[in-house]
Amino acid sequence: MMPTLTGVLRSALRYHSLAAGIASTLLTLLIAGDCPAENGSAPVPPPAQPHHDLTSMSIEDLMNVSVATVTTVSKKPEKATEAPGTVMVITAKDIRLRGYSTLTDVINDLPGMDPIGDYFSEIGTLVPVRGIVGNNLIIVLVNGMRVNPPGGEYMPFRSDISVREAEQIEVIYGPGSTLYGQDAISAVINIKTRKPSKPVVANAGADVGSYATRESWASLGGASPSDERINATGYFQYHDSNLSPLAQDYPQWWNGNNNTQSIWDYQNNAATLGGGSPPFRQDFGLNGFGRVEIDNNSFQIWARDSRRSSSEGGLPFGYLSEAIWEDRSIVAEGRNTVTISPDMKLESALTFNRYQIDPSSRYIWLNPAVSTTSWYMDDFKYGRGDGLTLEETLSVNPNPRISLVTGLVGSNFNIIPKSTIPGGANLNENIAAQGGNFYYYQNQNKTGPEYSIPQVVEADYNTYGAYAEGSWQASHSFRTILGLRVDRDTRFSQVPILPRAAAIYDLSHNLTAKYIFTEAYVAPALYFADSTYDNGTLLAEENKAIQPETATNNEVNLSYAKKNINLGLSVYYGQQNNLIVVSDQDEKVNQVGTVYVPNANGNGTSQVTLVQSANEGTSRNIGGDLYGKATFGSFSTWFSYSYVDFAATHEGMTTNLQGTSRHNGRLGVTWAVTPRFFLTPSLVIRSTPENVLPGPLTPEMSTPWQINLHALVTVTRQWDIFTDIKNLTNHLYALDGIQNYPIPQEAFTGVLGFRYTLR
Amino acid sequence: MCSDSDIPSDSLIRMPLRKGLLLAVTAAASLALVAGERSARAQEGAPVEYQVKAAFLLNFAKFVDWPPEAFTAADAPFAIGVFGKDPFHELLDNTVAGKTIGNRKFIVRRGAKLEDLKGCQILFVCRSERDQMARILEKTRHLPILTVGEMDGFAQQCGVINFVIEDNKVHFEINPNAAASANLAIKAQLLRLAHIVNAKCEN
Repeated sequence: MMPTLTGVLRSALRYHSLAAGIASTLLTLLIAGDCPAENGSAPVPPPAQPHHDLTSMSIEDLMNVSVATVTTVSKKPEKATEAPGTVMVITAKDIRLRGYSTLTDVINDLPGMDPIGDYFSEIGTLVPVRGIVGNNLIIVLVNGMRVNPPGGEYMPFRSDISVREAEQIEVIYGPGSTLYGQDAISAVINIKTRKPSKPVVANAGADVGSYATRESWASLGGASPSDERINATGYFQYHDSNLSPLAQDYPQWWNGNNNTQSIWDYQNNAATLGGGSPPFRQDFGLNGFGRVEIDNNSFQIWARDSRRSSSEGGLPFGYLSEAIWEDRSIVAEGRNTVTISPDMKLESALTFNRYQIDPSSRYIWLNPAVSTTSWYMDDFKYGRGDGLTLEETLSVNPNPRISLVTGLVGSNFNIIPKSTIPGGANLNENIAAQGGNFYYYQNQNKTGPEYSIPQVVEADYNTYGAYAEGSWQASHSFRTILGLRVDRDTRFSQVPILPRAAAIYDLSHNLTAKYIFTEAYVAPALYFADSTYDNGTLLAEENKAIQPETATNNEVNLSYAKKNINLGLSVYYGQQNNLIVVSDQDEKVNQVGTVYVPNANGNGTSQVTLVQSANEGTSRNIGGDLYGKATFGSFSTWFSYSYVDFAATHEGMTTNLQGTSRHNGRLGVTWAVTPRFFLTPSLVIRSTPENVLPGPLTPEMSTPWQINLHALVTVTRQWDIFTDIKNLTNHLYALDGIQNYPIPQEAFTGVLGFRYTLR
Repeated sequence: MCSDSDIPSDSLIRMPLRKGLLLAVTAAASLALVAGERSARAQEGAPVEYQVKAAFLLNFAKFVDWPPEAFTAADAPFAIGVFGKDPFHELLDNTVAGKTIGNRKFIVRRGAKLEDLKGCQILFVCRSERDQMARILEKTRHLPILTVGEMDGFAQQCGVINFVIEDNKVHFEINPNAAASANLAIKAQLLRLAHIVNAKCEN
């Protein structure tokens, strides 16, 4: 389905009318508020006057000025309220007082994010952002180093990304491809680790709790006492738990709503086929990190390993101990910074990134097309991705008003997307050869040629990118930013051109208004575009002609910051074009035709649909986020409310929110009961997820909410004792699962732990 | 199904339109707003931390009394010295520009050697001088100089004031013994806001 030229023009004009409308409205507001005093004869402050007149502040007021800066939005330091984007900053203090352990805990409290735990084992927690679904659309950085699986596969959010040693986490909403390239669609999250400033900094802790939860962590770092330019730090975190007993907590779901004929009757399946009662569910995560800085050079390495039951997500899986998904990543980066002049520096970074699915990973499931009398045990998976990236970034500040960041990026990728390898992959032998081929015929009785599709695909390709972004402080209160990136991927012909433009205006000392336009793209991951499989009804082949998906976003943000209050309001309109429709969605655009595959017993053939991933359709999201933090006496609170509307149009059909909530809200407060005792209750509430198929969990889908509680006692300067309770009231709720089936979420969990800090 | 040749032609039509409109809107916005104002904001992108620290240095001058011998003349300027790799760049100069205390103007001096900064009333010791901290403080201990640092142990080693970052805010430690040793009188309002470090600074 190709749009016509007139259609494209109409669409472009309609789209630009909206963008121009928003921009015009904003400009009118800005210009109206920009009237200089006394008919334009406002006194001209001396050049290079600091933005806020700090010199007139009292010492008490100066002690309340936040000096937090973010570096992720523009690849340079700037105040979060003045960065060209909607930015959330989570500090080390937030992490400690709220009891965050993993990145998933942080995401659970972020506005506009609609995390769905236990979504699917290879994804872990699905994180829709502002109505856009896809963990492959979120970039995760550790000290600026991209740790997503190379090649654009799903970013797994499980229990293996520790944040306990983070100094600050910066979350940038909306597209960020101008500086970060492919797949920066929904959000960019940068975890910045602590930098030791003392000769020895050590930290260790552990907690234990319900469902055999065990977690331990330790860190060690230090700075050279004689030369502050030399320091090293590292940490590890271990997590193991059995998760909550779903059969006990959600009996209606476990017994398929008493319909013994249903393939969703897990209880009956377990009884007749054996095993899996109560559901065996384990979750293991390991995260390690090390970093050494010597003068202007740094080397860091980050690794994660996750193993959990592969029976999550809603398909009629067998909850057997053999059903395990395990994958791991290791990412290493060497970085050198050369200061060419006081106003110019050059950073060079070489990054290696490996993601690997352990060959023991497999799904065990009941599939009527394969077997109705036993579990299908041979669905072993394997995948691997290697990425090597060299990036050169030049930062120039030719004068106080102008700054420029430019970069060149080149990457090589070697990817085997997730593939089925019966019996499990032998890593000592050729992986592609082990997969063999799928065969099919055009005719039912095997007349005519036999066609084959390799079960394992391996691709080697390169990407190149160049970007430049300039910032111009046009006046005392107004700054404009213009950036552009051009990418080239040897797999496809289209050359994404990715602008970012922003206008930032200080309405007053405390209030800043921003308008941001961004454009981004999703490179078709081999996982989506080149994955081949035969699931009994669909036979998938590669599509070499697939093109990237593009996204644009228009956003207006108001940020208010004053002493103990920070407030923000963002309103956005985004559009996604040329959507990549993954083959297993089996839409018309996916369907190549009807073919016949030989039966396993050698007799005859079975009819299947030959499918491939393809580009088709558009979607748009529109909504707003209201968020804030405030401190009053011994109370510190954070809160947010988000609204989103989403619509996708495929083949003339429009669908709305894809299993996510239209409204979501957060409210949390830390109460310093005494200087040594902190209580942090928090609430996450959302409206009923939309477009989820009804089933035995329908009551649990209604307005899901959870109350969490973290209590911390600082016993001495070295010792903390804490308890962390998720879902304090044991409120049972369900969220969207794969294929839009509701799935149960974790019920009450609680841990008790300690932390020792050597100061 | 889209063919290879179709998509680029589509995107070639769309891209210039989008960028052209976008750039026009942004450029118009810039010009409209520039027309309304003429001044500049400094140090675009510089961390706000040193803007705040510069303002603190200015404030410290109001809350500390120096003995008469600290100044060479009744109208001698009030000098803030920066020793080491300067993190302020222009920020400190801009902060004190046009400011006075009594009839004294503020000036900022920088020096490669400590001797170059003799006669300053405030001496800011940069982080780059951490390994020389003890030597610097030994040399300045009995001079009427308010030493200000931003390093662990600075106040413990008899620096008078040390900046610390707490909860993303700039706070400070004061060692009253070091102030007394330098014959400086720190006003109670300032002491009340500081973390007091009582390390001894004997002769």
